[in-house]
Amino acid sequence: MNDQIPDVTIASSRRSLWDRASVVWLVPFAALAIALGVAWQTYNDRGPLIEIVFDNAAGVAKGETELRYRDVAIGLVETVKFTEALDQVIVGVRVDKDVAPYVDAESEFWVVRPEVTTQGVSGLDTVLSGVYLQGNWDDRIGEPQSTFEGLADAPLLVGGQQGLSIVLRSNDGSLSGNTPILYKGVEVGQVGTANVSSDGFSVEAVAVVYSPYDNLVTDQTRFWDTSGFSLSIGTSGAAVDFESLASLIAGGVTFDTFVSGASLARDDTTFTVYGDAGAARASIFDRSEGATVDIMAIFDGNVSGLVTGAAVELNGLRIGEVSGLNGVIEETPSGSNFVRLQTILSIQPSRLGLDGATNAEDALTFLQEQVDQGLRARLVSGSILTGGLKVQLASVANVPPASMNINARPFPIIPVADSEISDVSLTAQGALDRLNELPIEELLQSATDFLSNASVLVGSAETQQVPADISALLAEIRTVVGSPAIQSLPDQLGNVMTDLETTMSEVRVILTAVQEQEVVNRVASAVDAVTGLTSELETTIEGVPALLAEIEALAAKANGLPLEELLVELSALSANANGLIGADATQALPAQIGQVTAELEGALAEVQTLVADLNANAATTRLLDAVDAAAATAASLDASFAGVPDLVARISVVAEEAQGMDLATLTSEITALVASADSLVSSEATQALPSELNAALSELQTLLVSVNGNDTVVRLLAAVDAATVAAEGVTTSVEGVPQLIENLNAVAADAQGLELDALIDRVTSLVASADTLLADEGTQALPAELTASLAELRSLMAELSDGGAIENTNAALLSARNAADEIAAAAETLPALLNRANALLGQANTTLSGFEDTSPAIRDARAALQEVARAAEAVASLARAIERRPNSLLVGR
Amino acid sequence: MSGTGQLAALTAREAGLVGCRRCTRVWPIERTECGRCGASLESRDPKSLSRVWAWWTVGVMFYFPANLYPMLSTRTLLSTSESTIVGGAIDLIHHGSIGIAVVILVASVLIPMAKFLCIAFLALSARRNTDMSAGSRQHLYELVEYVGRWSMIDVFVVAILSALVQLNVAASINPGPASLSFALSVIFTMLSAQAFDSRLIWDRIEDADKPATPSTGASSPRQEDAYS
Repeated sequence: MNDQIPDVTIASSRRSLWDRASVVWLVPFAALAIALGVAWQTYNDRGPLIEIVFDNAAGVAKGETELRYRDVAIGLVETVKFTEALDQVIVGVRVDKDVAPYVDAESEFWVVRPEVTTQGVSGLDTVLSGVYLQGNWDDRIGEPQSTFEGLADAPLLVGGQQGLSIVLRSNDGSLSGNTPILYKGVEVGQVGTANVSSDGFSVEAVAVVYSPYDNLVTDQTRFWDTSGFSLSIGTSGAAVDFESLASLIAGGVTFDTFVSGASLARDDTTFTVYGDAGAARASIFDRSEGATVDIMAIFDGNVSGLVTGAAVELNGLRIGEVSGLNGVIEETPSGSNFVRLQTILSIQPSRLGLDGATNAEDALTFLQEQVDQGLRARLVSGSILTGGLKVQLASVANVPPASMNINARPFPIIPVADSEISDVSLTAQGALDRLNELPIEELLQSATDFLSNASVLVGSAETQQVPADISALLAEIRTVVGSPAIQSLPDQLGNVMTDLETTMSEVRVILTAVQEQEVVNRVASAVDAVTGLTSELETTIEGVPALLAEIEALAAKANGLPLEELLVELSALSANANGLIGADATQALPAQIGQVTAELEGALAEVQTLVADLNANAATTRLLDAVDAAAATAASLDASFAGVPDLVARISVVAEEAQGMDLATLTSEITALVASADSLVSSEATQALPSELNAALSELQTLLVSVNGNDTVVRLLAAVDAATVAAEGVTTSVEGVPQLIENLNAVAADAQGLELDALIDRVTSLVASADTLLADEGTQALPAELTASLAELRSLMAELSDGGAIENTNAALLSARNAADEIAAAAETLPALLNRANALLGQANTTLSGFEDTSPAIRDARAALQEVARAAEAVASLARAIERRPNSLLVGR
Repeated sequence: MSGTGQLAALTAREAGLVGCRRCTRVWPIERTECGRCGASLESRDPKSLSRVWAWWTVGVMFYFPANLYPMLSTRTLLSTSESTIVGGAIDLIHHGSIGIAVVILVASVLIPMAKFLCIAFLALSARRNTDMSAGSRQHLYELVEYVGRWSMIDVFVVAILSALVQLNVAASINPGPASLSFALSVIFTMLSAQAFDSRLIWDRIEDADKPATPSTGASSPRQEDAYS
């Protein structure tokens, strides 16, 4: 082995760095280079860091919250920190480099959060993504700025929107923020957040009207509130009016330009928001007088009653109104504070009477001068009723000198004088006291009593009963009329008519005979007499209308009488009569009448026979005589009636007299009388009368049957003869009648002169007595007596029918003929009788005329009447006593 | 081969031989190419340490973003959460999953860091004296080489999660920038470990023996100077 170690070239470990360096080193260098390159690139690409100061940065997170412009992310929040005072948040945002130049001084930033309002939901995407910052700037590169003040809310014009920015002002709270501006229902703008103005008197809000609608707004445009709805009820019906449902809920403002031709509004113009369209429209004309000047007055003391809108007057002329009221704390020289009322007076300079174009400065100067001369503001009573106050600018004498404080803020202050407020409440109190003392309660009580009495009267059973009773009566009458007997009456009457026809044919024969014996002339003379009578009657009738007028007046008077009670009584009477008619007996009457008619028919048959006989027995001649006599009688009557018109005139006068009489009392008495009659009718006895009448009728029927059976014709002829004689006698007698009528006239004339009033009084009392009498038990018993007498009559008739009635009748007829003869004889003596009667009437005339003069006679008559009345009263009291104690008749007490 | 008593520590290089690292055939040290497999022959890789340091540097470089950037980006319906490796582990600890957090911390922080340190130590100790014996260092090197592949477990988790959890809108998991960095860091670290010529570990033993005969100097710079 060779120990020689081969020469090994051993490279030194200290070779050059390059030799030792591996190519792998390129990798870290490349990585480093890339890293550095990326870092530089990143640094180079990133934009500036801007700082935005927010009051509220809720939800803003470092590294997450984006800054967006037109909803595109252009930056990221890198830092969130507080200001030194910890009252605001500084958000550092890295803005993209390409956008950064546009972020200049005019940029606006706000935080977009999810928001649910009455206008809708906004920022909904931020619910998932979290809030983000929104930036808004124009498209011009401006001076770069790194610190911004963030907005609390989104601006109204966003992302390049064009529009008109205006200020809305409202004095009465009709402006609410964050509401849409509607124009004819279309949303054309937006009202921003409302704030109270710096002077505290109004609410202001910035608003925008989006383009192109901003052309609708001119200087004369009026805005008004459309929130809520209005309900109006008028002649065209009820109407509910609201702009839209959205504005109903969320409110809204709308506008209109009532006057054309005004220039377009410029940005930041201030508009007033009115409460409704009417006020907005009216304001056009109010404001045409120019802008108002606001001054301020500070009043002491209690000014309750002064309200916004109260008038401001200068020498009685309204020159403005109170536009604001609030308290102000003043410090006295002594250092203590007290509150005074600060009143804003809006005065329209054009009403101050200044010449030419008036503006605020002129008006203030004018007022200043006036104040120097003693013009003061003071409170005076505006309305007595409401106690409202108004402000009066008046020149007050003897006031300490003062001047207007032109420099006061917010408005110049005008000095004030003592208020002139009348104490309205005291006056009202006095008036109320007096009103209290009126006896209203008593009056009401009386009225109540009266009404209740009237109610009782109307509702009384009697009054209500009248119609029912009458109705029942009618029903009963209907029943009677509808009874078979009545129904059969026409048939029977038909038979009677047949008989009559036959009779007439007979009579015609007689008339023929009469004609032949030249009775026509006589009849003609009779007719002449009748004609004269008729003319007399006509004359008589001429006076009748006056009489009728009198009677009519009388009726009018009677109309005023207390007939109600009478009505009640009549009602009762009709009820009773009703019962009477409804009685079986009454019902049976028609049947009886039917039978009687049948008998009558038979009797007529007899008469027919009789007439035939008469025809045969030359009765015509006699009849002619009778006719002659009748003609003479008519002539006499004609003469007699000549005096009738006078009589009618007299009666008319009497009626006039009667009209003036006190009939009311009489009526009441008659009412009582009727009541008594009523009770009388309702008595059982009266009720029994029809049955008795029935019986009597049946007896009569029987009698007629008997009459039918006998030959009475001859006797009748004799009777006719006697009648003829009697007629002649009567004719003779009647000759004295005219004189009699004259006498009657005289009597009537005398009667006319009598004091009938007194007589009526007497008659009234007499009727009262009669009433009492009727009410008496005895009188009540009268119907029973009558019934009994009818029963007697019936039995008498039965006797007549049964036993020798015919003979008796014959005898009676004989007696009748004798009587007729007697009458004839008497008629002959009648003229003498008439003479006597005339004399008697003359005597009466004298007596009556004596009545006028000789009062003793009247007195006697009165006394007599009084006696009669007293007697009646005595009888009445006796009747009452007996009624009360019937046994007094027995015991004598 | 003839040798002295020192032959106990005779190396192939001292014996004038070089072994092929591919087919392990021993050749005279003069040969530059393996006659059997054709691989180039080098007694020592002169640029080994240089490459080690180069890869190591890149690995460390990528390790920073791997820890600073989020590893996972978890997006659910309403929120997106991104977490770094350590941040995620701390979150897990807060949620009580300490075991998982420990695994993550070990696999993603402790092991990579340890690898950096081990490689740096090995590379440094190839030229300097150290208290650690060559055998221990050899074991350490083998351990680093072995563990290196498991360092990718984090990247695998991210890859699997990203592939599985893609529920469109509801939820999705995406790898963050850190995952790529981390993967690169691991890769470069492994390359760094591979670039290390483990024979260098043993050179120091020869060097340590040699000065015992020619000189007594213990100063390494002087020793290195002797090489040059």
